[in-house]
Amino acid sequence: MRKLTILALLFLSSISSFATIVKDTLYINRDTVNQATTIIHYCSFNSTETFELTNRPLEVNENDTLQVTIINTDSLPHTFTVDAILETGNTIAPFDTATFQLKFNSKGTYRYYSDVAYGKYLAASGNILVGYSNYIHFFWNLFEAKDTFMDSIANGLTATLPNYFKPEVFTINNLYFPYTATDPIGAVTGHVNDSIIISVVNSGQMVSPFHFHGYHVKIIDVKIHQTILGWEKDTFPVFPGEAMTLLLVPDQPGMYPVHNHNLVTVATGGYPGGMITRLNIMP
Amino acid sequence: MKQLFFVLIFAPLLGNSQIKHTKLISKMDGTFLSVDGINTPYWGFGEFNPTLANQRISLPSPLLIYDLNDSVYLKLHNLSPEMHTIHLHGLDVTQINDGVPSTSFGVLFNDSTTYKFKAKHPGTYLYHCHVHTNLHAAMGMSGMVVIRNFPDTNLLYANGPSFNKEYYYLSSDMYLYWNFNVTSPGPFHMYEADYFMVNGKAGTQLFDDTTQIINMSAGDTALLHIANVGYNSVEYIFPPEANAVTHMSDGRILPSPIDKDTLVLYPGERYSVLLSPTQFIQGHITVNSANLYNTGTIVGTNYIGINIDSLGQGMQDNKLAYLNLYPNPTSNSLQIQSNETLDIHIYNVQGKLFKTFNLQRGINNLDVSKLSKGIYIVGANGFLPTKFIIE
Repeated sequence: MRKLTILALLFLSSISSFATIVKDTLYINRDTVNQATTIIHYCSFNSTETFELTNRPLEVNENDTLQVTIINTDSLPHTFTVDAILETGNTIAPFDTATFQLKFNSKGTYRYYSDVAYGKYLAASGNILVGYSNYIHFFWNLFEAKDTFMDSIANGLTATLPNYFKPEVFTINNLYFPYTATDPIGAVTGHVNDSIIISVVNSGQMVSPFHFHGYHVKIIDVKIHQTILGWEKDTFPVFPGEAMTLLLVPDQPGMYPVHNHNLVTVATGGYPGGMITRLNIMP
Repeated sequence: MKQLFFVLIFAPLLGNSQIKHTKLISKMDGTFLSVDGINTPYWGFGEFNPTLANQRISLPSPLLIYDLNDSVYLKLHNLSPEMHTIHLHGLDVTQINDGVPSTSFGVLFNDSTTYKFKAKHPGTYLYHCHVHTNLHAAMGMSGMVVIRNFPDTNLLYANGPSFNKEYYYLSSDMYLYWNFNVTSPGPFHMYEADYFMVNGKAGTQLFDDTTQIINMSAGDTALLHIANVGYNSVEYIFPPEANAVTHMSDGRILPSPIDKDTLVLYPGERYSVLLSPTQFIQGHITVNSANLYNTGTIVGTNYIGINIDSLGQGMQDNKLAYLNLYPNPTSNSLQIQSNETLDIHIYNVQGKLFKTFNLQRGINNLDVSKLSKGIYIVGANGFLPTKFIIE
C-alpha cells in the first residue's frame, strides 16, 4: 500500500511538472524613434505600457504551457501569432486584453508577431525560446526599416509591402551597431568551452546572411530553411520569418564581430554600423 | 584561371605539418577591361614579385592554397594610400589575426604585417579587406583560400570521397558607379550590383576563356570549390548529367551529402561540390545572381562551360554547339531554327536578363525590335551562349 502511495505521488508529481503553466504579460505599444537621424514608426511588444524599442523575448521550458496575456494599448486591433502554434482566434481588440495558451512540442526558437500590416511591418515581432533557459543564451531579432514606408503604414496610407522594398536602417533587436555591442540580450558574452545558445528570428523582409568571425556555430533548430539543420557554419542565410537556434561552443578567447554579409546592411549610422553585433569570449 | 595561382614562397617540412610563407601586396590602382570593353578601376591584392619595380594586383586576388595542419605566415605589404587588412573569412583565426581594425589592427601605407594561422580544417574559404568592407570588398579586394586534405590531397577530407580534378570558382559582383566615383559613392546602403563575375570574368569573357571550362572524361570526378564574396546571392545550376553532389560547406563536412542540381550561395558562403558524370555532356553551369531584397530578382547570369568526353579523353577546346541565329546583326527580328522545344534567354553582355522565349520545333521568328543597339547573348541548356548584335 505504501509503495502504491509513493508511486501515485510520483505520478502526480510528474503530471504536475509536465503541466506547468508559465504566465507572462506583454503590452503592445507604438511610438516613433530617431534611428541614425531617421524618424521611424515602431510597434513593439513590451513588458509595461511604456514603449521600448526592443520586443521582449519570451522563455519557457520544454513541455511547459505558455499562458500569455496581451494588453493592446493601440487604437487598432492586433494579433498574437506564432506560426503553426497559434494562427487563429488570436486577435486583441483596440485597448483590450486577451489571454492565450501556447504549447510547444519541441525545443527551439519560435517567432511571435502581430500579423497585421501596422504590426509586422512596424517590427512588432519577437523571439520565443523553448527549452534552453538553463543555458547561457542570447536573442537576435533581425529587422530592416525604412522611414517613408513605415510612415505610410503607421498612417494607414498603405498596407502592403512594395515590390522592390529597399530599406535603409538595419538592426538587431531594433538596435544598430555600436548600440548592439552593449545590448544585454544580444551582445554575446561567455567563456571558452561554454555551450552558448543564440535564438535568432528574422522579422524583416530580406534574407540576412550572417557571418561569425572566430568561430563556427551548429544550427540545432531551424523552421524555414531546414536543409541546413545540423550543419556547422560560419556563414548562413536567415530567411524572412525564420526562427532558428544556434549552438556556439567557443574554442578560443577573443572579441569578434558577427554581422550580416550582405554589406548594404552594415553602414547604418556610418560604417561600421547596422546589423553587426559582438562576441566577447573570455578564457 | 591565369589570375589564380598557388602562392608558396617557403615551405620547410616540420613533421606532418609545414610552415608556409606567403607575401601579398595591396594596391588601389588596378584597372580591368570589362566585358563591354571599358577600362574599369579596381582595388585588390597581388602576389609580391621581387623582380618587379611596380607590383601588380589581380582580379580576383590570388588564390591561396595550403595544406591541412600548415602553419601559415601571410605577410601583407600595403602599397596604397589607405589602410587595409586581410580578414581570413571562415578560418577562425585568433582575434589579433582577424583583420578587423577595431578589434585587431590595420596596415597603413607602406607598412607591413604578418597574419598567422593554423590550417585546421580542409575546405574552401575566403579572404578580403575588412577596412570599410562594404567599399573595399566591392572594389575587388577579395580572393579564395583552399585548405587541401594533406597528405591525402585527392580526398575531400580524411576518409572522404576522392577526386582527380579540381576547379575554383569565386563569384562576386560590383556596382560600377562606385568604381568610377569611389571618392563619392553615396549612401552605402544604395549599392546596386550591376556587374557580375566568376573569377573576375563576366559574360563572354567567362565562356570564351577555355581555362575556365571544366574538362573531364567519363569516370573522372572533379572537385569544385565554389564561393560567393558578392553582395548578391548566386545560384549554381548544374547539368543533371554532371551528378553534382555537395559534400562540404564553410570548411565543414555536411551531416549528409546534398544530391541536388541547384545550389544557392549567400554572401560569404562556400561549398565543395563533386561532379561525377557518367555520360557525355556538352553544356554549362548556369550562375544566376539575385539581389536579396524582398523580390529576390535575378539580375545577372554567367555560364561556366562543362565538357565531358564519353570516349575517355577530356576535351581541351570548347566543342559546344552554338545556336543558329539569323540574321546577325539584326534590328527587328531574329530567326532561330530548333530541333526541339527549348527555352532561350536573352542577356546583355553584363549578364542582365532581358527576355525569355519558348522555341518550338522548326523555325522561330523572335521580335527583338524593343532591344536597344548593342551586343546580346542568347543562352539555352545544351548550347554555347551565342552572341548577336542589334544595329
